Amino acid sequence: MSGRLSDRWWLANSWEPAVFGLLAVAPLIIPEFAGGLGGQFTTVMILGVAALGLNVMVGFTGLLHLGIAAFLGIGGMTLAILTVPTNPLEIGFLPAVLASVGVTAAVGLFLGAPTLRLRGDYLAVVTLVFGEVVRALLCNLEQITGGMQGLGPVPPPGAGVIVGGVDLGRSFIVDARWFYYLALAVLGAVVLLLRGIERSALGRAWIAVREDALAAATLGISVTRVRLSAFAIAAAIAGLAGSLSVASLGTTGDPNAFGFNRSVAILCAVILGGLGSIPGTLVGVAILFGFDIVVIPWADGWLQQLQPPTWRTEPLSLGSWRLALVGVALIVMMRFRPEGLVPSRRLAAELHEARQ
Amino acid sequence: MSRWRSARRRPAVLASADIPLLDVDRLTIRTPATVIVDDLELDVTEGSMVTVVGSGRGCRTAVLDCIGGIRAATSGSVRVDGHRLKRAFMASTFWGVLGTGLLVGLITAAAAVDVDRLWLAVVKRGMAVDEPFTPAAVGRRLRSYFRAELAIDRLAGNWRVVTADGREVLAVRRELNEARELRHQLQAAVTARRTGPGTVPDLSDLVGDANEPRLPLPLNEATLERLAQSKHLIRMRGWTGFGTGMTLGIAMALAIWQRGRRSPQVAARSGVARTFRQPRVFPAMTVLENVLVAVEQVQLVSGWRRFLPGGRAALAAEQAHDLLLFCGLEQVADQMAGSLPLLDQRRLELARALAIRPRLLLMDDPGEGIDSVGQQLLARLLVSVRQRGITLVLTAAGTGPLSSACDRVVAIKRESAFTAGAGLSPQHAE
Repeated sequence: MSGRLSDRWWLANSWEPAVFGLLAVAPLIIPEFAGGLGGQFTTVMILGVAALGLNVMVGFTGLLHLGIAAFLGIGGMTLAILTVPTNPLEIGFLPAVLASVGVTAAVGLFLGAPTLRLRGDYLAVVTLVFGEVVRALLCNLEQITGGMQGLGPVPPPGAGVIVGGVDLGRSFIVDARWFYYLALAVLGAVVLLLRGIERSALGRAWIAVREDALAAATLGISVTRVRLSAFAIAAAIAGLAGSLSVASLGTTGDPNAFGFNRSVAILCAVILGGLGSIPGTLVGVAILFGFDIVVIPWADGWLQQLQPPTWRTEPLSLGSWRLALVGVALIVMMRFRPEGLVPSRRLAAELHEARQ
Repeated sequence: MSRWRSARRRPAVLASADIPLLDVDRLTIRTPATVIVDDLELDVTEGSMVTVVGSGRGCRTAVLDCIGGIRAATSGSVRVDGHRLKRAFMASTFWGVLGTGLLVGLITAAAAVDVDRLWLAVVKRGMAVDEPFTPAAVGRRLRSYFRAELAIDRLAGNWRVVTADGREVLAVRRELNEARELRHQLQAAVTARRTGPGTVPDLSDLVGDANEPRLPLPLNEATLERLAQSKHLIRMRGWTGFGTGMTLGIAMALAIWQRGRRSPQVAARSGVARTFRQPRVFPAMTVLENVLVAVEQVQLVSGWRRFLPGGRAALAAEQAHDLLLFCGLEQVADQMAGSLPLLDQRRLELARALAIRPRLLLMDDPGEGIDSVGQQLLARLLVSVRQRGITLVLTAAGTGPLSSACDRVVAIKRESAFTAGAGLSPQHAE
């Protein structure tokens, strides 16, 4: 109880501010952050935001969602449609991000309303199919979404805003640290928001509905509304992540990137870190996507330098093995620590209960 | 929501003496194979405490499930304070159903008229010919799409006369003016074909003087006919899509509403609380949170205020603590509810049920699996619950300390349970 109703609720773990502080300071010390490394970290943090959104549904409310990447796609596409110069609207970055958050929340509600009565496997199938439908739509509505090429170029945030004689948008393109700090700020804001909701009446209602929907209903909790709110909030956060990722890449790219693989990867990160746990989700993302996006390219570069030049035609690389490595890690994890790396207090209690 | 609240808050004085708080009339519950409850009559006056006994498997739970809105009765009625616990068809229901229908209709209509091509016609084509993106321009382009009017598009520096959906290119010109002129003539030809002979001047009048050589229109008879039909087609597709979607949307929304009419949530909001035979506490929440989540349903029912931090949360915590104190659970307030022994889980369920400030409390076999000391403790607790003015309906397999604390004991008559209609012998049903 102490962590829950205390005044310092936003500091659930003492190491969390330290990690955030480290992330904030690192680019100032390590020059590589201005280039590729900063971009890689930005991608990981944006995926962290998406995973936090998924955690609202899977972790807090207990609804298995296999199509979260669709909301990344919808959010990103909305931002692109509203900002690219080939479309007439060309509104600013901030209103476009707000619009894409609103659109994804509305789509989330629209998906949630008819499917709320489905449970477990059935809901998972519906979300999976929804994800694939959205991916197919993004590929095939060529006039709206640009088809397989996607829409671009998406102007960076602050394009056209002159600060101290320098175009802010240009700074975003030249120096990856701008986007790094933007992603870090958004990640921090989403963490605080979810912490706040988690300890509010709405958060408790989420947990209660997850634990026992019938008992919750006998207390007058509107199970429908509680689940809908989780749908909408998860979708909105994923949409925010999607619009950030599109803005950081400068294009929506191939819509197939918003397909089932991405959804499952994010789900794996949430499960690896610990369902229903905010720091756990972030740790899961850091390990899974950090490994995939940051460590593997680095290790491959290192390996290539080690290999004799005669191997260069067919170099040994970890890249082709990464999925296998992740799979093995997940299997080992589920065997020895099913509650995740940093489990939520609740889930840990539950699983240990079951074991006894 | 206000209606529910008023029902709960209505003072006891106003309830007229001849209407019992709970009125179960000829309640029958059947499954395809068995008759679970047959013709149950039960009147419970406000402030009393009644035990329902019956030895059939699941029959006591089934009765409480019917009263609490979890299960539908096969026949018969359950009234609480003279009302059936069903959600009424309200104005908000109407607007919700209508809105859902419109939304689904618009989406299917968009799919039917090819939203991708609509986007091309309304947004992209304006960019090609450098028109401003104003609401007026958008409206004009929308109208033009649904009239299937010919349009001008640009590709690689050439101006093209295209059909509204841009799928068919009728002519290509180097100069915009030439293309415009041609589009005008072609459109006139198509319009003339659409409206039928004699309704517009002859085509030669539009094209030019009779002496002047006619501009050769890149139209053959088949194309002209197809273009003439396209307006009818696009409108038919639009309306068909909209009508189908709207019908489906309304049917879906009504079905969802109908299925949610009788629900435990509706019963709870009308002041009927419920505990279960196998306690259904929220195992991964602390004892305090279990009660808190219920307190908040009453206290913070409406809207956005739940997002405000501070005062209300403290008040809710205070109320939850009071309830835990009342049920004797203050020592274990911070424990996970799943780790409590059975008696404590029962008391927690009671505290949680009291948190929604019920008028009628249904308890399914509260004495089940508890020793006589525990039962006496529970009985004392229930008597003090009753003193708070809450009507209690308990079930039990037989008599015991709990039922002896009650005003009366009502039996679910088993001999009547296997008489009519089931088509099965009593042995089989047993």
